[in-house]
Amino acid sequence: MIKLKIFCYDPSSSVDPCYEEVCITRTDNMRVLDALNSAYETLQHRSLAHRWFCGTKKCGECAITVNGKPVLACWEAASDEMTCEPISNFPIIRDLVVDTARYERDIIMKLRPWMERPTVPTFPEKVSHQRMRAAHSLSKCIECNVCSAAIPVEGVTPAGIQAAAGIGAAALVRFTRFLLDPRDQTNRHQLAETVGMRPFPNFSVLKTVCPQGIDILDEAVVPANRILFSSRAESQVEDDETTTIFVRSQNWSAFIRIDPQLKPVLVAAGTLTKADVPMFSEVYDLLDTVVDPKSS
Amino acid sequence: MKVDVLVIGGGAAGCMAALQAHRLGAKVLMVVKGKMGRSGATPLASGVRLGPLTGIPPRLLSPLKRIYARVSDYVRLPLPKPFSGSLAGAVSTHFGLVDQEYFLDFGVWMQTFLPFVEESGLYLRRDDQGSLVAVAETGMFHSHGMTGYQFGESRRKDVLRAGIDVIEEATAFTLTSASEGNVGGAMVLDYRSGRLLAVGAGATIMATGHTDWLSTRATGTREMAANGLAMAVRAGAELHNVEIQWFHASDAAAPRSWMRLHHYPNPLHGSDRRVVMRNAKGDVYLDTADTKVAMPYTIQMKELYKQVGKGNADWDHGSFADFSGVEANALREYQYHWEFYRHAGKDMSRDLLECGITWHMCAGGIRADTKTMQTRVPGLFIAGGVGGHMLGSIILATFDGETAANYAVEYARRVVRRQVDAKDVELAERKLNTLSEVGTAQNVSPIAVKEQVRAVAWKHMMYRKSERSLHDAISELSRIRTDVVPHMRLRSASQSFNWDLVDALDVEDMIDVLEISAQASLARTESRGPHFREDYPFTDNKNWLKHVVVSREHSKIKTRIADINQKYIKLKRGRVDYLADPLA
Repeated sequence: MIKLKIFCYDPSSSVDPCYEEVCITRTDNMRVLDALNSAYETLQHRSLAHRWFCGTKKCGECAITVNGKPVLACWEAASDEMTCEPISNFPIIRDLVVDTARYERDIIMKLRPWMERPTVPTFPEKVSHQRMRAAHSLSKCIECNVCSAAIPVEGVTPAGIQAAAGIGAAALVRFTRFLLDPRDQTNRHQLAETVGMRPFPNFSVLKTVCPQGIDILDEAVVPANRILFSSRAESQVEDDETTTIFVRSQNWSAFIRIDPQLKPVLVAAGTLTKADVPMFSEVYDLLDTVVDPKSS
Repeated sequence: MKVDVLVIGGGAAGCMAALQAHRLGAKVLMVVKGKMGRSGATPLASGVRLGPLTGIPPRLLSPLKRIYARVSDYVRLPLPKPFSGSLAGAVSTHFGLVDQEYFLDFGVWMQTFLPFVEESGLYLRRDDQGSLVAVAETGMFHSHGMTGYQFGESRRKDVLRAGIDVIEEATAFTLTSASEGNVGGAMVLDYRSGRLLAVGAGATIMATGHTDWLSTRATGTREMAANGLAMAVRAGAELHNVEIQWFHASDAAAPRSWMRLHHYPNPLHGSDRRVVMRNAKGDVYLDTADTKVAMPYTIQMKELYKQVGKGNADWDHGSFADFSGVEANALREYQYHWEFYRHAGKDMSRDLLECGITWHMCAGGIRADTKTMQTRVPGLFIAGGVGGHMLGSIILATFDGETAANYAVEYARRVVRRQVDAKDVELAERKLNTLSEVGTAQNVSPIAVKEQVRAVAWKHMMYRKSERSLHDAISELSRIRTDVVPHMRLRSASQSFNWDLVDALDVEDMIDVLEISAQASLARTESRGPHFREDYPFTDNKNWLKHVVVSREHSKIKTRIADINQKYIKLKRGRVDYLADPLA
């Protein structure tokens, strides 16, 4: 048997978030997604909201947090006891489903993750795999946002969640995939300047968190920092200790991964107020003012 | 809401249709049940087959083809290379029932399309000398299992950057009429927010794909429930070839979500060796290399059927894919599922991989004029795998998307765009309200009904069919419709991301399409390709090089037989033993 504790919350209703507990039968080689689907079929009084489409690591739409770790549900093996929550750093739509569309529209698309050149060469263009290897590896990215959920945000405001370095990890991977593509002729230095890109922090969790097996630290962060900001490849790896809190604001609710040192600062400043919700220890209401971690 | 062209579906066909209609200046809306480029059949595509490469400029090739086609109406001319080989392959893959003219047109179009295939950044795998990595036998480029999602993502960004309006996670559930007998848009449930949208459109392009999840084990992704076929039939369109289901014999047996993981029986990149199939005793029952066939899917099914008959294997377990003869390096480099097995603690170059069959796709679909992609219902166009004219392929689907958009835009310019009629809106609202009722523990949930429907297809409409099993299927489906569906209720009233409501909408479509498919299967009294009638175990090219065409009139299913086009390649008439002849 597998014991599941699933986060349930409908921000459009006035009901507090809660955890639904359900036991399901283990099956051969079971994935977290199979367990969730079984829970979806089993629960009599609730229609669990969880998003997935392909079940085979292609659509990138089933990312959730399991026992505190962001994973792709169709990829991660099911363990005997699992607490399932929506991935951090994205606004919750319902239960395990988050809004990733805004991130794609407002951040990823601004980084022009496609190829541009003045003329299209005759097919098939000669380009050796050697030269394409780095871009090819990054093109495995399915934009599942597991990486963006694994690292701390810069801050939170009633208007939204400020991703790491202003763009978050998934956008960096998408951008770097084209930065390293020898065929692309977009002026990505200029683009980076226009959108205000900054050196990306070297979070060590990015080495192993990608379900597609991309070493995001070595394959995206280091080369992007080197090419755009002439940062040295061997720069300091950031301390990865993070804490996750549940934040409610007027416009959005989300699990937020933050630097543990930032939390008391925000609470002391009165930006975050601890709320009393049964079953939860870390729920905070966000004041209707802008939070700038640097000024606080 | 009012648009020139409504595109339903967001795969290879839908994306191209939307891009092309947009390019032609039309106001376009795309409605995608899942996520554009990410859900549906497109991300599952193995590789790209780029058709015949002639090196002849399309501006010369196109008129040449027209002259050739005109002369061929009167005299039989030999087909020039490379089209002859390519068309022969298509005829064989489609068990003779292919639209030959359409495939030649595709071959010509391909020459124009090729320069653009990598335009937005797609990278088809090269070797270190810079040449494409291809399998000669199939002309398949890229790595097995890795092309579709990269192609889909690239198309996704193309559509987004073009600024085309897209509503994702929204299901179209009824086509609306502009006037009597026309289609003028659709009613759409945006299930992310619970909004009901009435979309009036000059022309509607159905591009919902071919890979539906209609049987317990199937390749179709979570959202695929034959909605496109069902909506089209209800609007008066005809379907054909829907009696023929294409099965995979060697997909992953477990876990359940990985049933869409395919162990390719085709020639492989980087190796001369191929997969060997073993039964539960460990004995080899098929070495796919011995078949000398690039697409040995039906051969695999026939051999598995024989093993099941002897008690040596079963449909969902006890049959194994053995890749140990293939070089480990070729598997690691070019096979998508290598890492899945490694992740699950297996080495696919050594360990046996347990298989189950899956209902992969409907070989048939909506019947249309393949010159224009218009169905018999004015205003309704199709593109891609949802059509009855071809099996799936992301490049063929792209071709269709362009054709459909060209004619849909022209059609939309000729008609007056209207808002959806108030009567249509009211009917749709009533349907949604009825389905939205929340029940108690005594009721049955929509997902449970879906599973019951799928179980009927798994039990009675699998690879092995007979008059009896098909009658059983029809009566079981009718029992679910009358005895179970009335007790189906939602478990949650939430307006936001409530899949119970989507599942409830799907149930009717799934039952409708399975019933039609069973009726069509009864009509085809022979076996052909993956359509296997145990009571008619022969392939009859004398009487059955025909389409079974199905439609619904006054909620009765109507079947007729239509001729096929054999203009360029004529198959030998006569009758062969289906199980004995591997190519039947």
